[in-house]
Amino acid sequence: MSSESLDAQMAAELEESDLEGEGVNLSMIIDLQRCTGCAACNMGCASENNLQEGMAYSSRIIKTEGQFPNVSYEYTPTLCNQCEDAPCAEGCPTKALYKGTGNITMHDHEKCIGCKACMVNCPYDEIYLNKEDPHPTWEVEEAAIENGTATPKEVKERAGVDMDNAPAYYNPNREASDTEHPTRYKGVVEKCNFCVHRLEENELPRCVEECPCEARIFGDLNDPDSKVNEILGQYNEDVLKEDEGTEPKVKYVRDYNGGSYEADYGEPGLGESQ
Amino acid sequence: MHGVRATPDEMYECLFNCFWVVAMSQSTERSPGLLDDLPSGKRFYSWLVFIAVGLLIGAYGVLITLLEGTTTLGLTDQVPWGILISTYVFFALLSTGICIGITSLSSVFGMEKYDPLVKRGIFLSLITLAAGGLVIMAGLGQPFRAIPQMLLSPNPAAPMWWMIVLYSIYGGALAAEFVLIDQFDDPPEKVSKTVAVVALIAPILAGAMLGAIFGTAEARPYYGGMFASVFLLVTAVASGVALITAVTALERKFSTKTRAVVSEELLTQTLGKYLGVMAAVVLLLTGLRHVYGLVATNEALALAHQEMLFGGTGVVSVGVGIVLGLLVPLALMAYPKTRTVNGVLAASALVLVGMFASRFEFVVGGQVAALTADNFHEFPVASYVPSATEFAIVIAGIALFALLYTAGRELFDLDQLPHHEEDEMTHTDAVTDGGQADE
Repeated sequence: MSSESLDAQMAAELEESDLEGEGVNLSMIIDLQRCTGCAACNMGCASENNLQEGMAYSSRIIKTEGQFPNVSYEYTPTLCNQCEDAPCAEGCPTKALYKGTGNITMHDHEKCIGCKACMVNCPYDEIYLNKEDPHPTWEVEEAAIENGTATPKEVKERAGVDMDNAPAYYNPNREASDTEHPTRYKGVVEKCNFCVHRLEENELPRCVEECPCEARIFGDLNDPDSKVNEILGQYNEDVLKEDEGTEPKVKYVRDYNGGSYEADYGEPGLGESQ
Repeated sequence: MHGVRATPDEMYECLFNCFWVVAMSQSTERSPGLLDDLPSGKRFYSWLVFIAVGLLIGAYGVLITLLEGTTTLGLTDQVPWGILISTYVFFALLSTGICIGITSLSSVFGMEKYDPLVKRGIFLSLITLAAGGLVIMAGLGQPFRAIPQMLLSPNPAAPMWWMIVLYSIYGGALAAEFVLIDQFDDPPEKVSKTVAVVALIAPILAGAMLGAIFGTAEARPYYGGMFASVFLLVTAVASGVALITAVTALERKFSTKTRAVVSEELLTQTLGKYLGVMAAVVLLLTGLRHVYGLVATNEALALAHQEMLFGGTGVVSVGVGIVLGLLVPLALMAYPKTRTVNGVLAASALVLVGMFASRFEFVVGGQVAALTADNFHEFPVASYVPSATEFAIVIAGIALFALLYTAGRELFDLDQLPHHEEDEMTHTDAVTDGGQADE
C-alpha cells in the first residue's frame, strides 16, 4: 500500500496524463460512506470559480424519509456528470458545449448564444444561466450604514480596480488557459468542467482537494491502473438517473450507513446460524 | 391584370433578389391606386395608434432586456424556457400551418377553391415568421451572436440548428412565392411549382425539427418524444387555418375587393368546416396527451400534467386552451346555425387565443416537474410566472405582426389570385361558387 496521500497519488496520475490526447477519459468517484456532508466541496467550488449567489456547480441532494426515531438521511453530493453521451452538447446549436480536454463536457463562452437548450436537455439541472453581469452589487452607491461604511463602489475605486481589464469579479484562476473566461458575463450559460484550469496546471479539481474525508477520487477511466479503476474494481458503482442513458462519469460507490440493526429478528436467512 | 411575362433567366435573377424585390415592389409597376387608396377615418387611425402603442411597449421590453440581460425575464435555472419560447412556437407554427394547410393546397396540389387565400396566406406566413423571429431573438442571452455562430460553428446534431436552417429556406421560398404572384402574370410553371414544393416541404421539416427540440429532451417526458413533432405539426395546421380564416373574415367585412373574390361559402362551408375538423383533431390529441400523462406511472410526468391542468395554470391550460380555444369553436362550427361569417370569425379568433394558451401549456409543462431535489432548487414543482418585460416582448411580436400586415395590405393586392397553368376562367368559377365545383 502506498504511503502517499490519496491526493498526491491522484495528482501524480494527473501529471502523467496527456489531457489533450484522445486517450484520456476523466472521471470522479464519490464515496458516499466517506462523505460526511460537510459541504467543503461546495464552498471550495464557489470560491474557486467565484460563483455568485444562486449558482452552484457543486451542490447536493438531501433526502430524509420516515418519522422520528426511524428516519433515514441520505446526502448525495452533485456536480455536472460530464456525461459520455451528453444531451447538452448534442442539442447545442453552435457547439458551444462540446467534448474537450480529457473528455470533459466543455463550454465555450464565446460561442454560446444563450438559447438555453442545454438547460432543457440536461437531466440533472447542472447548467446555469448568467442572467446579468455578475456581482452587480459592486456598482451599488449606497452604503450599508450611511456615514458609517463605504459604498461598494467606493471600495472598488479605493482598491484601484480596473473595470476594463480586471473588474471586481475578475478571476485569475480561470485565466490559466483559453478554455475558460476569467470574467463571466451575462447572457451565456455556465457549468462545472472539473476545474479544467486547474487540471491544466496539474492540480486536482478544487472540490477534490477540499474534501477533508478524501471522499472524491479523480482520475482517468482509460488508465487501468488509475485510482478510479482501483475503486471501481472493489465496489459496485452507481450513477444518477441511470435510465436516462447519458452514461455519467461522476459515479458513486458505497451508501452512507451510519448504523446497524439487530439481525436476530424474523426467520434466519440462508447461511445464517439458527 | 398587370405585370410582365418573364423569361426563365429573369425569373431566377428575380428569385435571387426576392427579398429586395419585395421590399422595393411598392415602387415598381403594379396595380394603380393601391397606395392612393389609403384608408382613412377614425377606425383606421385608432388601429394605427393601437399598433404604435404596442410597438412602444414592445420596444421597451426588447431594449430593457438587451441592456440589462435576461434578468428582466421571469425565467429560472429550472424553467429556462417561458412565454417567449411559447410565443415563438405560436408564431412559427402559424406560419407553418398556413403553408401546409392552406396555400400549398392551391400552389402544390392545384385545389383552386383555395386560390383566393393564397397570396394573403403567403404574406401572413412571412410576417408571422418575422414576428416569431423577433420574439425569440429578444429572449436569447446573446442575440447578436445567434446568426453568426449558427453559420461559423454549426452543430448538425442539434435539432435547433436544423430548425433555423429550414425556417430560413422556408422564408426564402415564401418570399419567392410572393414575388412570383405579385410581380409576374405568367411565371414559368416549373419555377412556380418548384418554389411551391419547397414552401411545403421546408415548413413540414422545420415544424418537425421544432418539435424535435422538445421531443429529444428525454429528461422531460411531458413533451412526448417524437409525438412532439406530430403534435406541433397537426396543431400548426389548426392555428394556421384559424389565422387565415380570421383575417379573411375580417377583411371581407371591410374590403369590397376581398368580398369580390372570397365568397361567403368559402368562409362558412370550406374554412368553417376545416376549422371545426381541426379543432376536433387537436382536442383529441390534447386529450390523449393529458390522459396518458395523468395515468402514467412516471411520477414526474403525472405531476406535470396535474400541475398544468389542476394547478395555478389550469385556467390557462383548460379554461382558455381547451374550453374556449377548442370546445367552443368546435361547437360553433358543428352547429349549422352558428356556422355564419360572424360565427366563423368568432371560432377562428377563439382557436387562435386557445392555441396561444396551448403553446404556453406545452412549453412550460415540460419544465414544471423539478428534475432533481437539489437544495438550490424548488422541488417537486418548479414555478414560473412571466414578467412584465416578457409580456412586453410578446406585445412587440403581436404589434410587429399587425404593423406588417397593415403595411402589406396597403402595398400589395392581397386579393390577387395566383396563376395556374389551366384556363384562368376556372379561378372565377371556383371562387364564386365557393369551391363547390371542386367537390
